[in-house]
Amino acid sequence: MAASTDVSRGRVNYTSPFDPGRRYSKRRPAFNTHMKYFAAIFMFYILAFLAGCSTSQYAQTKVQRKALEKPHREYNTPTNYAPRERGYDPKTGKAITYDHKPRVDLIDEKSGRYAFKWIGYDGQEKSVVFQRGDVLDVVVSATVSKTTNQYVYTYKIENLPTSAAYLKRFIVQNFASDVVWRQGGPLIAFATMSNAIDQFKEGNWLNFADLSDAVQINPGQTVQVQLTSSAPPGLVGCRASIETTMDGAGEDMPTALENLLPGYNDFPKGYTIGPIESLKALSASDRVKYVLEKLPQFRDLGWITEDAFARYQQSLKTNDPPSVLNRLDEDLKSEQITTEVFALFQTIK
Amino acid sequence: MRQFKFTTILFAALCCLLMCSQTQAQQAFGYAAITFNPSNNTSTGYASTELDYETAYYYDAEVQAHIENENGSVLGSGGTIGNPSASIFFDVIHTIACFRITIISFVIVRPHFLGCDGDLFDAFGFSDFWWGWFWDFGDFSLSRRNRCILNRLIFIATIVRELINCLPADVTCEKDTNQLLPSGLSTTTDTPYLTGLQPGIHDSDHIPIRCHAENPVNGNPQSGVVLRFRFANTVPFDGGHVNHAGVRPKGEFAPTTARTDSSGNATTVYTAPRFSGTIRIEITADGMTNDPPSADLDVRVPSLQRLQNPAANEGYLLRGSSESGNTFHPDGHYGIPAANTGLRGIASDYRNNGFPQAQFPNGQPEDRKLNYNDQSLVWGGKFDIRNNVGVRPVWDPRGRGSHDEHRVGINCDVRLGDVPNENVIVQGVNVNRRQLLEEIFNQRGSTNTLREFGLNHWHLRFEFNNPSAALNGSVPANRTPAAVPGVVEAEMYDTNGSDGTQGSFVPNDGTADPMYNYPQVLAITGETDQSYVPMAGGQWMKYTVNIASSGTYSFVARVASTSGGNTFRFEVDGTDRTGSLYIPNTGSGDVYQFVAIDDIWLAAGQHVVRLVVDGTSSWKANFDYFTINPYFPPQFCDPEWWEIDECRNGGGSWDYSSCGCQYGCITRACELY
Repeated sequence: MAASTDVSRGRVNYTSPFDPGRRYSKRRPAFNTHMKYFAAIFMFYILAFLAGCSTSQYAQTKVQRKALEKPHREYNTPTNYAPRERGYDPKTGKAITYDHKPRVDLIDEKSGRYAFKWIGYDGQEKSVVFQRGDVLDVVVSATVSKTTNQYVYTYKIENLPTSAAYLKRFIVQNFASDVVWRQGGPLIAFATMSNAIDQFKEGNWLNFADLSDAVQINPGQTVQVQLTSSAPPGLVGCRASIETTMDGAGEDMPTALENLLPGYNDFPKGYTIGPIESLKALSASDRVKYVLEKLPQFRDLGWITEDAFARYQQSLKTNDPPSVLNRLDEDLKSEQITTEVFALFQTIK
Repeated sequence: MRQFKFTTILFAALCCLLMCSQTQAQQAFGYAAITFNPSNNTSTGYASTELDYETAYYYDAEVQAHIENENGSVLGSGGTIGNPSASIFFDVIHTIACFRITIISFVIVRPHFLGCDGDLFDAFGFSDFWWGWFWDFGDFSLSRRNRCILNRLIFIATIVRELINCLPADVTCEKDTNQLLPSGLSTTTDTPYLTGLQPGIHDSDHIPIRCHAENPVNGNPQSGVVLRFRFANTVPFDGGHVNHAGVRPKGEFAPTTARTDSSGNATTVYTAPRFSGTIRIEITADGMTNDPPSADLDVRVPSLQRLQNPAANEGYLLRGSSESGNTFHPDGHYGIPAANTGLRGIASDYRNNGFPQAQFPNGQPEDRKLNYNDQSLVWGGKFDIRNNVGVRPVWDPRGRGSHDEHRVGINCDVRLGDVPNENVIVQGVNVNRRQLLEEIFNQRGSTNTLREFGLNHWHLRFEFNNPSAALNGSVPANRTPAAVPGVVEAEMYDTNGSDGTQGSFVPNDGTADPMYNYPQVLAITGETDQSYVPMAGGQWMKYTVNIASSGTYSFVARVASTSGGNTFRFEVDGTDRTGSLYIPNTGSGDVYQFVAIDDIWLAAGQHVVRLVVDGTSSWKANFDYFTINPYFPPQFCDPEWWEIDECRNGGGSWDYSSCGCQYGCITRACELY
């Protein structure tokens, strides 16, 4: 059990190892005597010891992939905007303007829906509903299997029950020229994201999208996509998103509101593994070096436990990959490592 | 009887004399003039009255004159008497720019003879009868002409001469640029979309126009000249707004007139209209001795390019302008290059996936091609149209259908009617055609597409250089922007922003993390408290800086390298501001030299400076820090010849470095004169 102290409020917070999101708090008792004081200190140390043990135990228990990182943005009514031009005086050429009163109303915090409103050219209020991208909670897991000369990459994308929107697309990066999408499941990939888009300019980003009217990947549902390549796995980026196309209001959205739209930055992002062609050419020692460099990041991503991390790092630094490889299956079964780490270490065999 | 005879003879003689005088006429005439001397701004009046010989016998000539301004105020006057003529000059010095002055001269005759009461009297008389007998120069005032005063003076006429003149001035004007943005584009929110902007030159919708007036004769500054700023009639190019009805908005001057100050200077600020096109401006003034200064100002969104006409099977058509018979807007398919690339990619993806080769070997049918309407007009700017098809557009006061956003080349409408709401097989999967197209929009750069199905189109908005991303960019080290002027340590690069914007980038050489890999920070040998960043080709780091004031700055970087020929550059807010700077071969990664570039204009406020090393992903150089400090242009020493002579004669020598005379001293405390 992890503990932290909030001195200002006189509370000690505890985190359950079984439910990291749930927090308990106990009021620190008031002591009036020395005995009580020492007893309290003693108890405190006992608790702290237990807490420390539980932290360590928690870290070593099993891996838990982190959900994709979500940017949080605020959407507020613009306070500084130019009057909107309705037209021009045909005689003088002077602009005829009006206050279009752009504003942002929060419709529902949980679903992250906002109404972007303004007074239209016809004097009527216009509204476009926008949904924030961070309402999507997604965990991505990847496994790799190898045929004679091909790697098969399988991605499971879990739209967590905590999400407030259905999953529209999953975008995964690769650095290989022979990537082929394998059909199956509701998400289809028919093209890559344009490299002209800042967020997708490195490598190739294969876009798997839900284009069906019949199926929707709702919260709590998991979908799977597959691709193949001759390139071995390496660390790559991935993103997911909700539906981003919106229903318009019958006229252009004013600049002050349109400029609030976040674009691709709103897509939750994270890491997974994918084909990297350049890894083919690496020597065995360079592959070890590559994996060693990535180990801290694997730990941060929740792909390897602290214990396994220490062991693997030690083995690789002492140039003893076999000791790692020999335990890979066992560590995977005992959930000391995820399938991603398993797949990456397979490449150093 | 003898007395009677004498009286009769005298009467006859007088009558004879009178008759003689009448027949020979008594003539008086006058002259008046006013001149202006531009060298000293002086007006000089001249007036004279002159009598003929006969008249002069009985009369003296007298002239009285004054100069008055248009309000009737007397600016100067004078008068004199003479025989047979009287004349006078007098000066008036004007301090105003333009004036309208009048000289009024009275032609007067003064009788010689005294009457019984001692007054002068007119024994002979000028009367109306004699009008035709005298002559003049100038305009005799009818109102005064009839007057004949039988007293001391006899007014013959009033001569009026008028002079309308202005201070002469040679007027010259200057401005910093011929190219402006259409107004309404914010430099903080919209310019991130735009490429090709030269900060301080092309990133503004207004410019000051500075004029100077000087006397053409002596070259002195001419104060008080009233300059008028106006639009000339000729408009060489009107951007994309051919055949609009009504007055085309041309922008505004503030002020529209300005009077030159004591230095001969006057300034106005011109603000462009929201519409693109060439605006011809002209500066006029009364008294201007040179041709009126004029200039053509291009109001445009830079770097817009025309979306090229599609090849036969390219999957899109251009609609809504001249391509489809609309002559009101010659072209409506201008966009930023990335948006144009995106649109071509959309058409390509749609054709390839929505119309598979097996079924449509020659590309999709004509009526299934994507119709691209209304990107931006030529040169961008406001796109003002009416919904009424076929009706000549006007600067519509009702503002219907105004494409408010279609002005910087990031928007395009895609017609809905050509994309049926039907299913199509894509890679073996049954999908909705419209959903397929919307996903293609997303893949090619328009993620927040609007469905304007009531208006029969999708409204695309390409996200490249999204200003909201720029505004929420990378986070400065320690969350504090580096102060400029000042030193920026290389290792203090921005961290990743909360929106995912990268603060740094290390290229993937196969061994490094393909994304979000952080630059190394190492201690400088022998200076353990100082760090440097080794940088490879393609590597970059961002630094959020806060610039105290707008002005020109020098960038100086401290670098070390063991190879020559490598280059780096500084970008500010995504625009290359320095060009490639050569990294010297310092012989060692521990030996540092400075690389400097001057005269970089920076606007005050928060900006992101990006240090980029060119080339491929191998180590190029170590960077310790860079400075951004105000740039002071070199001061040239150009002494007068006599200053040098005087210095030499005094035993000194001219020191060009200090631009002064040094008198033989050898210490640094030498006194400069």
